[in-house]
Amino acid sequence: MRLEAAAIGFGFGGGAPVLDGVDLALESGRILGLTGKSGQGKSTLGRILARHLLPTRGRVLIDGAASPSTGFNPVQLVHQTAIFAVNPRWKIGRIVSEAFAPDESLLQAFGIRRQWFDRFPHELSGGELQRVALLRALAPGTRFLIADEITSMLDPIAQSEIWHALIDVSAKRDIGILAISHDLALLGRVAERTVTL
Amino acid sequence: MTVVFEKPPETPSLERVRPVIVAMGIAVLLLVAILLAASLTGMSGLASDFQMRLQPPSWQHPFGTDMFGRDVLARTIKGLALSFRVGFLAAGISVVIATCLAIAAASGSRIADGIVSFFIDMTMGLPHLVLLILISFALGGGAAAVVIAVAVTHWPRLTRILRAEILQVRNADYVAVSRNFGRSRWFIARHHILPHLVPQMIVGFVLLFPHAILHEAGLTFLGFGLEPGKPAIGILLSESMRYLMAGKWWLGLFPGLLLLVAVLCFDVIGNGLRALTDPRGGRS
Repeated sequence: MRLEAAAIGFGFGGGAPVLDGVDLALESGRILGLTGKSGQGKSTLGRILARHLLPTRGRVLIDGAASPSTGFNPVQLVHQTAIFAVNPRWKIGRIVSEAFAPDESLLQAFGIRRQWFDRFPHELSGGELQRVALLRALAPGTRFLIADEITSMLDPIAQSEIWHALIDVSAKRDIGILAISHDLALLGRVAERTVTL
Repeated sequence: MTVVFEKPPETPSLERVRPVIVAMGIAVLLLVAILLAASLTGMSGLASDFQMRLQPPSWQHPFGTDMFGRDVLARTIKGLALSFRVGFLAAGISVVIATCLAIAAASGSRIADGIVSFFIDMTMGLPHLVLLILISFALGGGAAAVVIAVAVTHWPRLTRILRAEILQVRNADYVAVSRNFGRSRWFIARHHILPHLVPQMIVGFVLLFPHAILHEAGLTFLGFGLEPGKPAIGILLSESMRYLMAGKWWLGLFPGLLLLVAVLCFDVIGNGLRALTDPRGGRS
């Protein structure tokens, strides 16, 4: 499968465009790095690819066809602050099951314990919640993962564990990952190629 | 350089909730008194006894008797029961109107949002009591007219709050994530948005309730509300006016005081609930 951003343009509130004619392609099973200065539109591009935002110009294509506007989106987004991506009134078990019922091996790969499923999001640490957000995004239908600074607020050990698990899942399930980060050293380690916006 | 860390005050929450607990206790007592009085006194306290007319408070008649010899306590409790029924219905209908209009305004249609916002501004811009009197008068007075008048004039503030809440939750990241998992609009409305609205609706109802009671009494006092024969608080206060100058203070004091206590209790409970559901309240 191939995820493409074709001549994407976007501006907030009719102001100057943040993105203007951006092209990008990501193959499934590959990890592509995306970097750039703050305010260049990396996260905005990630949100557009995952259908959280609609572009003002251009199209997002999956295998040459427009990405579906309803139903399960094969492009999932995980960003830096997982606490905003979960309903604060739901327990972790319900949050995960909104997407799918994960098996034990996937839980173990991301270091997630079943006991967490009975807790609310604010009862987990930032790192634990980020693991949950990643697990949830890796539903069986996911083909591409937009990983926007997913480990920038974690300690180096947690960062390494999470990326090892992600690389493993990507290879096993043929999932393409767009790794957005300011950390060029990290992108150098995890991505096959890095593009600058 | 000296850095001073201030220790947070001990048990601040108990201090904050004490008035709410007291108000809840009084409100429960009032409700029990109304329920018990309705079954215990029946109509006996409401019967005329001309030999006992205009008696000051005594053990037999704690609130005294009126110009027809009727027990003021029995009439006050009957009046409060009537006020509570009217207030409950009016506040409930107001919450339903507010919720429907807020959903329509926040549904995504700019036209619907514009229309609802216009009606909110218009209703809030008009003098409250004048609008109440006009509607009640146009509908011919009586309990139904009072309920409708109070209900259709009290929804704007809650509509604004609910509209803002829906817009905030609808644009939350977790709603976008849910949509990406293929969840329907109905699922998102039912499981993500509605649970955030329920606390606001409950607080809105509890805060509207005393307003509704007060306005019912006000309308009735001015002669545009309930029928004169009914033992409503507004009618008791209206009737007492003629006798206050003659020194029959108990006719107005006790019904007025009980109405004030009831309104104050529900206002304190509503504000307490609002503080509990407001996350910023925890830090203040």
